[in-house]
Amino acid sequence: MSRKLEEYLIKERNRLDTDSPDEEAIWEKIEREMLTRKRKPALRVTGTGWIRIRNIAATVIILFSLGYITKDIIYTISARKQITLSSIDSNLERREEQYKTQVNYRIHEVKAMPVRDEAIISELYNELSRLDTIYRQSMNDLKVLGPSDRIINTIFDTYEQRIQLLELIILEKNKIANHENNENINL
Amino acid sequence: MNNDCFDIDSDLIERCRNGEPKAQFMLFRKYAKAMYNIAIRFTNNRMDAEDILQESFITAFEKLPELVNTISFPGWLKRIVINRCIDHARRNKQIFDDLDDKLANETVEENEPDFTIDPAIVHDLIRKLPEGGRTVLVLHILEGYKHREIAEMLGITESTSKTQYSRALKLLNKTIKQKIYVS
Repeated sequence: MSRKLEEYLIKERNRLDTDSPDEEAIWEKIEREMLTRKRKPALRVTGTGWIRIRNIAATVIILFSLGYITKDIIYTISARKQITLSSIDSNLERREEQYKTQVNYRIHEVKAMPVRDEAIISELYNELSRLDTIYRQSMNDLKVLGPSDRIINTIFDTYEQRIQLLELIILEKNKIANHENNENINL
Repeated sequence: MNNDCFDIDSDLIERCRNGEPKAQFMLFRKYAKAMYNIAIRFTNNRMDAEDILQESFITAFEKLPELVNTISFPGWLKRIVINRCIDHARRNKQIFDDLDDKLANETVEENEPDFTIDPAIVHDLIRKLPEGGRTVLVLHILEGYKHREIAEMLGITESTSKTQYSRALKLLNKTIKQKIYVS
């Protein structure tokens, strides 16, 4: 190993500093830079400053997330409570009312007729029950997912099909009643 | 660094802490040359060394209120400069395997001549060493860091630090002898 060189470097360490910087020019740059930084104090953040900024950012994110979740929950709850066809549009409300009137009228008519347990009538009642299920599901979709043409059309389809089924039930009951009357006349 | 650098005027530092430009300039003048020479030995580039000097003093003035003991100012400032130099080396992806392997196998001359060479020439020859070895040599022999510390600072192994140092020292020895011979 170059021991003498090592000894020399240690001994002459201070005399090795032989280069001279352009002090005036460098100082000018330092002054200018420090002045610029003083004008922008917001950008001068210390170590603890960064921790504070990080904490504030984390708090903001948590609050924002909580706010978003709360809003989402409130929206869902309120949606479940409030959304019906009538709350969406007055035309839809009017149309639904018309369908309801027609359905109720036919139900009242069916109830006024004697009870029949023929297979075809049982089949029609089963079909009515299936339509009720579709209607309930569609109303639930409307509350959870919000209004859409597909859901609204499905709801009105169930009304139309109910009316048709109720008319068929009335027709079948009438047929049965007529057939019984004819049989009695023949007897 | 000159010994008088350790003769710190606490008053001057206090005035710098209060943001007094004249005091800051005086402090800069006192340490600029020593710090600049450290930087130029690391970078071997005047412009880079000036940039490092500028950034280091700005950092020092900004962080001066955090310095507890004013007596430790010279070492504290030197550490800022060295950290900047190491950042510079990292940015330039300094390579530590660029020294001639043959140098490691060279025999040691027992009868080395006494060094009577001008320090300015040695300083110049240090600057011309390959950068990886130069960094380790400067940190170890001139700035007093241990190989373990150098390894941590540069992200290399202690063994690499020792090897680089040994090779750089041999290369410097060789170039100094050549210089003496030519003279």
